[in-house]
Amino acid sequence: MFGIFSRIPVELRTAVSIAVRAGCAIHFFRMHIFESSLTYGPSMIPTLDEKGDFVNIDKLKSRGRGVQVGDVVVAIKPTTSDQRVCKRISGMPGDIILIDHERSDNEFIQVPKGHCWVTGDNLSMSLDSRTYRAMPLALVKGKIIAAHSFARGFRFLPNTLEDAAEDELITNTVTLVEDEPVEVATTSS
Amino acid sequence: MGFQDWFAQKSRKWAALRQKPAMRLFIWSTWIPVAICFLDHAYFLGHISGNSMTPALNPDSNLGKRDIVLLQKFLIKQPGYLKVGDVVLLRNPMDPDKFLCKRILGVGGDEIVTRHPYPQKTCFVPFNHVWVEGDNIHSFDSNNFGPVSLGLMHGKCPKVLWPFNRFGAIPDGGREARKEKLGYVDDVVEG
Repeated sequence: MFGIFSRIPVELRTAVSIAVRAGCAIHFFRMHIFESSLTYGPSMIPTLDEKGDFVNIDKLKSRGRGVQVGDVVVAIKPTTSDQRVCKRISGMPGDIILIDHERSDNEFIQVPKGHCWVTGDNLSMSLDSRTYRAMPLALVKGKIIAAHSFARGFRFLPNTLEDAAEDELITNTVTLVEDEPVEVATTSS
Repeated sequence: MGFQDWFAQKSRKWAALRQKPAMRLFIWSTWIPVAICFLDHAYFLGHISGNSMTPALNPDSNLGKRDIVLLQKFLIKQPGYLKVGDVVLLRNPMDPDKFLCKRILGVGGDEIVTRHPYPQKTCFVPFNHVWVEGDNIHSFDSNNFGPVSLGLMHGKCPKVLWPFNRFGAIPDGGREARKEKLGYVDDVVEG
């Protein structure tokens, strides 16, 4: 069928064909399912080191499917479309956000529909939503579930904001329990 | 048994295995990732629904049928590749799972004279952002959500493929929105 290809030795043809198929399969896996890649930069310093940290990215959570406040995500940088950034989501659509707690004007903003607010953990060395404002969730490429490096070993990256929410719930229930017995006592007696 | 004999024996076994129907199916299925990578990074087809690009796409002569366009997937996120007048498919910034088909009216560095829902009269498009608008005035576009990042671009539409009577390049359209080309003055000083 392809006269030109039949001149190439069959071993070489087979080798190239297998290499193309394997390469595309690996690329598909890295694009859509799971990726482990090297990060650098000081913006997430207590969580991720400045250099030498690998992050394990769950690509099934791309486009913000199933991410919530407190998750660490990888996203395309809105101001430079060929770079990616690791940031922590600190606001989802509808949340009202204090833009910068270090500025004297306490300016609040509501995150628009389909957007999210991302900040680095190292606020003093991070270029994030405080500069480029709310970022579309479509730019989110995946959620970082774990990190590993030679210096610090393997560790999962937990959602640090979940615990705070749970504590708040617990204190609320405690106050409710304190209030109730008085009412219960009066009605039952 | 030397290496040659061993290799010949393995080759014969492998050749016999390859002829089995299940193995043939598996070997064909290894080309699926190659096809997906081509569709992800080279070319794909796009269905255009809605009338926000009328009359360049989905004109009234279609009688309700939808256009099919060619989508170019490579190079589109490169800064400076997309030019004013290109028709692009992009992800909806307000709804990450949906797409919009719009025309680029301004690239990074341009100042745009906006239309009604936008709060200001003019808008500076930041670098690596574009201003997109539909040709039709009834369109959900940058006047609603502002300039969009190049990272949201999904594909450039160079050709209409279907229907055949309009096969070829997408016709020009849209308004001129760049302030420098319009000679627009937004602050008139009254004497």
